[in-house]
Amino acid sequence: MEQSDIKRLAFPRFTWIRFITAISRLVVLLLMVIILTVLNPKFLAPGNILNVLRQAAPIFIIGVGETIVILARGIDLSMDSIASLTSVVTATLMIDNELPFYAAMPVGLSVGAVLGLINGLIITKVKLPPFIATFGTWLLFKGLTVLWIDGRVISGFSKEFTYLGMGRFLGIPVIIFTAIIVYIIFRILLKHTTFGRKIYAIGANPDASRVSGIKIDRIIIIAFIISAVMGTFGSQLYIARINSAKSDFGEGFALDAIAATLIGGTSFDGGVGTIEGTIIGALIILLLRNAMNLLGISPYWQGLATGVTIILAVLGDTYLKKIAKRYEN
Amino acid sequence: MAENEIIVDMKNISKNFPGVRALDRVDFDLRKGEIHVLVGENGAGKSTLVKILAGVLPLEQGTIYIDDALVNIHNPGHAQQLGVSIVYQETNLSPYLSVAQNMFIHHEPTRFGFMVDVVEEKRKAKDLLESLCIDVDPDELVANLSLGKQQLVAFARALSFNPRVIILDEPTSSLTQQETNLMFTSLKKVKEKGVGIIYISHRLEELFQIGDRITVLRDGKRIDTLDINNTEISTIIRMMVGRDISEMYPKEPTEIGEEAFKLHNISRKHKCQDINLTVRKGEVVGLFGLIGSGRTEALRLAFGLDPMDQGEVYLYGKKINHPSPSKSVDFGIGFSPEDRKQEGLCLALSVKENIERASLDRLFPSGFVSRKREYEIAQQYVQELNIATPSIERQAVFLSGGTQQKVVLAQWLCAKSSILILDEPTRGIDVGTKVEIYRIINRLARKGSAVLVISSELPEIMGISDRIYVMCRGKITGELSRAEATAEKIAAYAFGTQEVINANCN
Repeated sequence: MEQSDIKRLAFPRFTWIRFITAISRLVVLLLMVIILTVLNPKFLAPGNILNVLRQAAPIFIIGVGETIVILARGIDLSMDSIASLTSVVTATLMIDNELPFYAAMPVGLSVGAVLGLINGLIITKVKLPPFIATFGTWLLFKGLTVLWIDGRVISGFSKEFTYLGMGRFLGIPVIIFTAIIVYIIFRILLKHTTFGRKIYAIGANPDASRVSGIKIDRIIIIAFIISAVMGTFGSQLYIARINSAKSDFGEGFALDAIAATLIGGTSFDGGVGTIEGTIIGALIILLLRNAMNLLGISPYWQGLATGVTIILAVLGDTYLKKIAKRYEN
Repeated sequence: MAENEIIVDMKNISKNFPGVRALDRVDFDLRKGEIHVLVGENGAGKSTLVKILAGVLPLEQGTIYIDDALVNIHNPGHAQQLGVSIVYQETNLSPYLSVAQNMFIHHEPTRFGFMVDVVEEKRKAKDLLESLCIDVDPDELVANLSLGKQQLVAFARALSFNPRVIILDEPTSSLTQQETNLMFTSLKKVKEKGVGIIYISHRLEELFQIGDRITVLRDGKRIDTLDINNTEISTIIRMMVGRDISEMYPKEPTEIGEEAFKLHNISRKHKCQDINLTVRKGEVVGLFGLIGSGRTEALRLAFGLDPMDQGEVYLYGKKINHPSPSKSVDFGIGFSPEDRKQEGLCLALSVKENIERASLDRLFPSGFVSRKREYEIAQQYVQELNIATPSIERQAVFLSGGTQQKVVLAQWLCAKSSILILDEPTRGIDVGTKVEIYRIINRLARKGSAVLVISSELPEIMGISDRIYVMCRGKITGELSRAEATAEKIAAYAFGTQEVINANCN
């Protein structure tokens, strides 16, 4: 084969439509930054920027888990209760059992993994649709937490633990570094491993993936375990920041994570989406909230704004896809 | 009213799909009270032509006259107003509505203009069913009916619109012999009322029972329209295939070796029973059967896609315990499914990702993907199989059917499969690519692979196979060597109606 042939085959022709699709979210994000800066010059102050990033980090970390299951045509609605149950587990271990955080966190993560395993087993072995399975476990895990912990608020964590959530390293919140490490790990997992390839394949077409010999049940179970572990990890960092845990903690996590994933361009039909998109999605959600706070708009409007953004993002995607299809044909 | 009055006149109809010219200046007409049969291989353009008439596909070029008036059919509803009704192969009835409700779903008899007149609806349904000798209770839920009965209900529904033209797309593929006869009786009744019927079928034999005229399509072109009574079946086959058999099927002799793949007494309730077959190294074995004969089901069991009730699968004499797709792939079996889009490809993913899908663990045992390696491998197969794609990053959805099929084959070549199960590998593919696929099959056999091909096209199965098994109603009814095989013998085994058949097919 000629060298030029290899190049031609390996690298698709540059097309505007592809380019626009790829950067559309980044453009939206930049536009938001510009508008916010115009409306309120304080927005670009380093303190505010770091604040936005710090708040976006847990949404991103939880969103990573949600992204993986949505890529594989699933969804994890139980994220809220996984977050509350595992954070309460982690918190009681540290407070009641006086375990150090480096022992309590892995135990919490293992409990998260078990919860993810339960989701995965219900979906693959009992064969319930992910929406229904995780809707059920959402209530189930929530019920467990409430029964167990009742109205108790657990607080007073060690300095070492809260450092993970509120501390700064070189003047930058530690949680931002954590998010960057999570990003690098999952970027590699999704783009450079056979596991990542299988996730995309299953999402694009589970039947064809099965014919190709991929053990789809196993991969889906692992995806739900990863999702729950990331949900746990994100919520541990969260309670480290607010320095308390209680049974209704974690409400809205699943919706934020799903919103970040969808705004980030991951398709509900599976097989299409990126981790980078989820970062942008988390940032867009946070910027919206930040903007409203800066502009003094009531927080009641925030849900509405997020909803409109999701709808616009998905609509925009569908529209761009249509154009791309016409163009390719 | 003249006997030969023309109801529908389609002139110069052309239609393009991405990468394929589906119809090329086709003329077609339909007379009052006739059954006009439309035949052609898969992908010849039969369905496209009738879908244009039924308003399902937009007309791109050409003109359609209905009763001498130029019409521009906008949508299926409009076609229905013009008197054109269509019955699809898949019946699209609502399973949890009753037969009567299904029949009148868009034109319910009403009371006061807004309430469904349930009594009247039932009465009308009953009358219509009785007039067609269809023995179905109008109150029965459609879900409780056999596929054949559902097909008959769909037919009755089409008639409830009092159409002047009725289109039947492979209506008998899921019918039993008895139901087929029933349908033919009804068809003759309908025909006597002056309705024109367009009848698409692959079962050439039955066309002679009911057809008046026959039009043969090939590669989107009309080859000829003939009076069916003065036509030989061999003429029709020649017109459908359109070229010398040897040129179409470039069969090469191969060295046939040891037994590679063996199914022993494979059964699954209601699907297939006691399937025994073997494929040897270097051998191309054909499995012929009509749709619903259990051929696809049998091989899905063998590959592990569906659970089997009993039976064993042997690979080079070694038994595979509890076959599953992942085990089969590990053992070197490749499976190209009947429905490429549903089970063969990840349409949203690239050519590259589709080619490597079955080989991920083999190519990258560490679990980490090497970009360089995957590019090289994908390019190698794109070149080897002459896959027409501008780039290996192209999404599979944008490829033509033939190219998609090559990507599916490339997947198994990449997985180094030595046993290939190909279910209808040339369905819906243009003739040029078909020949390429036959050559790929030949090359695989020459390299010592064992190839098992399912097909419902007689010329194809005879052209490419070293040996042929024929299935009928879930059982293997015959086995023929290449030398023994004739269209008549295969058809006889497949229909299971003629004397030649041994008793177990009845």
